[in-house]
Amino acid sequence: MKYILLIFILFSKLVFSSSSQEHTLGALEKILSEKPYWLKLGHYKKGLYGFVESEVDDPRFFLSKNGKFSPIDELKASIHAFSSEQLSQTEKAQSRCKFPARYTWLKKHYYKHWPDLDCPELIKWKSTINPMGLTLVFPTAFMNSPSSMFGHTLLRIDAKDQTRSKELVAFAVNFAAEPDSTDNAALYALKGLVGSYPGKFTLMPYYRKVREYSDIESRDIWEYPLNFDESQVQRILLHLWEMQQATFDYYFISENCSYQLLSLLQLAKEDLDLTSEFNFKAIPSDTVAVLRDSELLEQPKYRPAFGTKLHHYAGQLSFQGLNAAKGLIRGEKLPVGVFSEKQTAAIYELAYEWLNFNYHENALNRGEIAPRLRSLLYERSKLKVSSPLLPPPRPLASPELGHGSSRIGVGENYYKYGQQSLNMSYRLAYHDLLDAPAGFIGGAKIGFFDISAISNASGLYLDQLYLIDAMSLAPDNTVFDSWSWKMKLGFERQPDIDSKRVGRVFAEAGYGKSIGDPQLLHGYILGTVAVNGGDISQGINIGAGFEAGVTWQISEGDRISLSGRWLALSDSNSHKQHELAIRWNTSLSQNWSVRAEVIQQNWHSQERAAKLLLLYYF
Amino acid sequence: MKKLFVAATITLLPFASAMADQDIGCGLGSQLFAGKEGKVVKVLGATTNGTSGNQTFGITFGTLGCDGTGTVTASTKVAQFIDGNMEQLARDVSRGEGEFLETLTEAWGINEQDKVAFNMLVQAKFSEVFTSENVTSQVVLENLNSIIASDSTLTSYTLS
Repeated sequence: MKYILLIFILFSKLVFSSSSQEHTLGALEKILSEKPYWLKLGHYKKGLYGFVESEVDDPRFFLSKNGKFSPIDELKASIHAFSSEQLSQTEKAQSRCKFPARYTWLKKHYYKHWPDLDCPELIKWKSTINPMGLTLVFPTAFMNSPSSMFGHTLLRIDAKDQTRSKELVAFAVNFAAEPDSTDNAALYALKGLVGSYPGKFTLMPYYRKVREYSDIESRDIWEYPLNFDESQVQRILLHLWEMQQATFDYYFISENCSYQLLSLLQLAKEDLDLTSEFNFKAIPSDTVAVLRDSELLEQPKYRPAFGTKLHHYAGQLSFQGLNAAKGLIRGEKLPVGVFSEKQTAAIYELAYEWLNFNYHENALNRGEIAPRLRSLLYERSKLKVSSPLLPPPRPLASPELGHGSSRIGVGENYYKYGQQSLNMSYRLAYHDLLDAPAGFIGGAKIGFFDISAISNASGLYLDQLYLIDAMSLAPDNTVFDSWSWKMKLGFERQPDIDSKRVGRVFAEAGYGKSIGDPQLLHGYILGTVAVNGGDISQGINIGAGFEAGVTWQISEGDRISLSGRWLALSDSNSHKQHELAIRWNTSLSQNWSVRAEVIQQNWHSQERAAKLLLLYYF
Repeated sequence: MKKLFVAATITLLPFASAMADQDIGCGLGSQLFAGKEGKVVKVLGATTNGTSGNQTFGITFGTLGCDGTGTVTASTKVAQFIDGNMEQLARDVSRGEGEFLETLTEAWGINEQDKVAFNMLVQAKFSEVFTSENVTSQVVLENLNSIIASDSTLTSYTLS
């Protein structure tokens, strides 16, 4: 009996001690797996239904079969792969070198006895990159490409021995969808938009990106040095190395370049959280804003685009000089003895840039143009003067000083025939012609999901919903001959026979010309076609006509616009529709504005409205 | 197309470099004013912000360097930079100044006090560097190298 008791005690002690050890280990693993840094390493995020899920969609990124959905399983699998005695040294080394950021973090905080990381390839990689700092690169919006309407963001890894002139050969970190090269252009565009290409990080020399954005697409670039020290940069790079394994579903609005760069950057510090406020939308200017708010941005540098330079250069030549450059472009010779050496140099330089631009833009005949380009350069090389053309000035406001990308508004609507109503509005993104222009490209309007509701004594009504409301109004100038366009899709209200406002569901497109300077006085005229449905028309009708507008920056914070439209309708009850509006916007601060509007709408009858709105951007 | 062309050049590398006068660079062969690339990149980049073509690597850049192992020598760096920036370089050489020319001198390892001499020399010899509108980056690199080799003050910078 005693023996039995003794055995029992011994046995229970054994069981208890081992289980309590297991218990401690289990508890530690649980604690670790809930640490924010571990969740950041695995790109885990709480989904819509409260389940944790990693945003990485590639099984190679996980060591556990259940890794995508379970941070703790992935943690256990990682610890096992890094340190289990059941595995050979080679196997363990492989796992450690595949996931050096995980290994380093676990070792530093909890497994101090683990051996130091020893990965020759990683060392070689790091010594080639030679990292010192990081720069956030923000090429501004490019209206004529759907993915670039909001701009793009990428990173540049600045090397230790880098000078300003050598940043071109630094490495750029780009997150982009990886297309299937066998798809044709149309399929490519479609698949890109719906996110069916996997997104991936890649490295490339920075000059490739400069050429792509600055030279080919003519987008100005802003370069923000990021306030990270060397060890923080090292931490980010260790994780970037792990991202070789990772592909993501690339969604245009949410899991895009900007979002992924933030989830990479937040690994710099244990407690840095850059992504949690982005639930369903992250656009490049938001990236800039969140980094600004986390005090990670330093004063940006400005890299004017090719087009910006060309336009600025052309303005520095006299009328005769400009004509001489045009002559050179056509293949004529420069008249002798008319221009000074400096003027001659300027003429050759402008002629070369201009012709080269046309050559690429219009795919001109190489056999004819390439010798001409070379001879323009050769003639220029004979002049031993430095370039007389001045670079474009830096814009007064860089993008981080712009208003927030979403907008809410509240105010009052007054109607001539209808009731006075409370107006509440929300716009998901991004910028219209009256919003404060600082930090945005001029002459461009991009509205996504712009909704407003009105409330009065008779109830609450949907007043308008524009799913897309875009205008690209690049003005013509000496150098560029640009076309302007618009696209609008949604729902709004127009006056019915009894001046009652009824719904109009529509799609519109317009094409035309703009003149002037969007920062000062700017006008446009477009030919417009509309397809109308809803209560306003019997069945579907077509409208065709024109619209025009002028925008004037009257002072630093005030913008006024006058716009009108006239459309003939294929509707037997109403042959035409027209509208006239005057709007005034005054910016109180970076994110607050007051807007007043007076609108006259004619459809089946006439209605006039005046609106006064307070707008907040965030 | 360009990608194919470069790939082909790289495949032929041992042969091509054996044929070249000086065994420097990568034998990369993009042409001056190759043209039309712009449109292709525009279409491809239109929805995904991605790029096509050479000199884009995965994170570990397995294709970086001439031997594909990621080893980057000074002359590889110079060769790749020239290959990727032919037009910009031609423009800067014709003026004897500019960011791309400055980057070239840095990558080439030219000391601060010799940069002016380098810039003046290449500007003066523009037609010997960019011998025709069909010149390739490999030839440009060789031309630059032989001009430097025969210049008394800069000869020590000759790449081998």
